[in-house]
Amino acid sequence: MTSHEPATDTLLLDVHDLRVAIPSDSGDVMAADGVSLQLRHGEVLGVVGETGSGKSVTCRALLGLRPTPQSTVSGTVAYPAHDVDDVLSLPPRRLRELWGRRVAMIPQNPMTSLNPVRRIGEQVAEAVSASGGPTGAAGAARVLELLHQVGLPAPETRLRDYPHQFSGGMLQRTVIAIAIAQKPDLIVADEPTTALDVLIQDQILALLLSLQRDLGTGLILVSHDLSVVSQVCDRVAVMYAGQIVELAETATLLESPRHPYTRALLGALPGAVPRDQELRVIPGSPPQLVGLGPTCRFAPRCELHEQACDTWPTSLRDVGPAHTSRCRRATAASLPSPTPRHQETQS
Amino acid sequence: MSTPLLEARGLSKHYPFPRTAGQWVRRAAPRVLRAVDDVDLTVESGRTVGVVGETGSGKSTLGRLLLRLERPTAGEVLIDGVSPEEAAPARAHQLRRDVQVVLQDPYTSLNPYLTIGSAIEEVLTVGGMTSHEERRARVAELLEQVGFPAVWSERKPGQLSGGGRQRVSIARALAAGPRLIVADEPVSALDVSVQAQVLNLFQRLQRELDLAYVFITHDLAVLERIADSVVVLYLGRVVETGPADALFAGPGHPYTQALLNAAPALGRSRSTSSAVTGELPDPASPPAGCTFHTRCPFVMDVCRTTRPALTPIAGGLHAACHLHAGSTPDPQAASRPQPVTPDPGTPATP
Ligand SMILES: Nc1ncnc2c1ncn2[C@@H]1O[C@H](COP(=O)(O)OP(=O)(O)OP(=O)(O)O)[C@@H](O)[C@H]1O
Ligand SMILES: Nc1ncnc2c1ncn2[C@@H]1O[C@H](COP(=O)(O)OP(=O)(O)O)[C@@H](O)[C@H]1O
Ligand code: SF4
Ligand code: SF4
Ligand SMILES: [Mg+2]
Ligand SMILES: [Mg+2]
Repeated sequence: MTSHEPATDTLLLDVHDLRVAIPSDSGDVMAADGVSLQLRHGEVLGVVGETGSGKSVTCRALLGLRPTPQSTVSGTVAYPAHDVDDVLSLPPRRLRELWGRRVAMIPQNPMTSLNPVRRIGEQVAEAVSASGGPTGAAGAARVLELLHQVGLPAPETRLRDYPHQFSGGMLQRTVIAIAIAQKPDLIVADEPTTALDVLIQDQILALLLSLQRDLGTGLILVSHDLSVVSQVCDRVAVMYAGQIVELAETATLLESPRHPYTRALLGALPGAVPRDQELRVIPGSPPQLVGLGPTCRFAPRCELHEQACDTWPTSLRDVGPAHTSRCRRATAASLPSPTPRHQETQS
Repeated sequence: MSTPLLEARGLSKHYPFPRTAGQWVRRAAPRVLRAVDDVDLTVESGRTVGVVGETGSGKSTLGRLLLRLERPTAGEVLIDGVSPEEAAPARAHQLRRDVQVVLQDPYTSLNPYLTIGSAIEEVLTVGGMTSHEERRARVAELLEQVGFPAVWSERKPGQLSGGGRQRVSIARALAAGPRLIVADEPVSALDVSVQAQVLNLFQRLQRELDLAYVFITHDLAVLERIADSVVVLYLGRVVETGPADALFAGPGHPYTQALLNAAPALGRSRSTSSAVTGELPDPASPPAGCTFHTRCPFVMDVCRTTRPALTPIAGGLHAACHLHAGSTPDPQAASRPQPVTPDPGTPATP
């Protein structure tokens, strides 16, 4: 362990070598393949990656959930502050205790966690009363308090509504109210704003951030949008093909990326590139997550690829203070610039 | 002034909206949903008009009207100053082929059983290209134009990624030899790395073929990159329009300002407050007066009753907002809240 890593006693979450294998006809899909990360109390970590990079599978594993009953999960997901050494081996009863009170999830589609045929008020009340929380008049008061807190307009009049009577933004607010009902120490938000319009996305991000600050909760914010993540998070993990390929403080990641994939993403983002410059194109597409070896998964698309990369098993290595990368060619001092041979643009 | 490639005047599309039982009993007037309401739009050849707005603002409906996939409730669409409905049949056919479409969903916009070569060839046949040889050659040329080797003409859409399919959709649109492409959220379903490829392709084709685009998007970063001029829609109406540079530098309408403030910018650490509060109103019963008044930080009494007209403001922009109502001097102008310019914020990157 190196000096910049936080002392274990202050850690909220400690994930070590998490692997999730989903059996399929063509072999095991390694949706998460050696994910390690740590989170301190009250910290905000972003996870970015393209579709299928394993973000959702990883998030769900943090709550001890597997994608299918046949899936195999290995590694450890520890909540040291709660004396949980590994949620992946907790008995169901202890797992349910952990949910809500210690860690809560906000999914991309709020309807995956709301029941379409039950009233909004009842569903929030249930979250409030779980694990011995208040019921009756005290419970009802707490429901209203929560719905006010998440900015639902005129909640008194909406308690008897059903989910289909709510807009996307209102549903997401309701799900957030449910998530914070038991004052968890960690909220895992999986693309909480992807389905929303920009003004509502802005409201939900503002809400998440203010709740996070008021309650001192840790937050893991997952998104395919690096701009969203970079606005909200202290640190950012970049995922590619089931692995974290780079992890750094937000400003460091944007200013001096130490993985060619991160650098390529920054060059491809319309908002990050001046209008008179062409957007960078990353040739090819991400690999299928079946039968991949220990070597670099970005190699076929990488502008810095060398023959030596094909025999070098990758791992997240330190390349600076609180900065890790899986690239063989990344050093603390630099990530080499591509030679002109590599710079052919394809459009 | 020369005749623009495409001109829409006073374009409206009102959909009948079912009355509630109570309204039925009271014999209330039939309600309509004003999906597009009195929109003017001009496209010059070789230029890009960006259309932006929230969900339900009428972007796709406007696109369908420009493409003549739907009949407007009012207004007209002219190409080279002519309405295809009034032109002679041969000329009308050509005018229709001048405007082609690329849609958002690369997974449903192509027939999965047709090779991409046949999908493109189909358009050529309809266009009257009778020689098989000629069609084959043209397919190869079109595929090359969107960056595919000619041998890929035998592939099925299922063998392509989302970005690849979108390039086929573009090749298919090009096959009709259009001068204008209406693209409805063509990159919204794509991951960034693929999106860049498709955006670059749009820009390159514009340079090479002098194409014009009506580019519909909800993504302001994409819009800023691609658009020469912008139309901002809110609940079916244009709230601000004009040159893209001016609009991004100093938006005049509070709604445009809110959109720009709310758009996530890379590394700009955000605050815990939001650009506006409040939800999008129900498009079937939009607020009276200025339809943005329920969410506007600058709302005044007049906004709740009187609909503001589009008026010229600085930078060649036009905005529909009472804050800009003054071509005549307004004694209260000084006490009026100043429209905010987008706050560059505190960059997270020092
Ligand atoms: N065929 C139709 N019949 C009735 N209402 C319709 C029809 N098509 C669209 N609308 C309504 O018209 C309004 C504008 O819809 P439109 O699809 O044009 O919006 P949009 O700006 O493209 O939204 P999005 O960003 O979600 O694609 C919406 O309120 C929609 O529900
Ligand atoms: N329930 C499931 N059954 C089969 N495959 C799955 C399941 N969930 C996820 N996967 C696969 O795991 C990989 C990662 O998926 P996911 O975590 O959802 O990615 P992301 O959230 O980054 O888009 C993908 O290849 C996906 O197809
Ligand atoms: S290890 Fe090699 S192939 Fe992989 S990202 Fe680094 S330079 Fe590229
Ligand atoms: S007219 Fe009034 S409510 Fe509408 S945008 Fe202008 S100031 Fe706001
Ligand atoms: Mg996901
Ligand atoms: Mg649409």
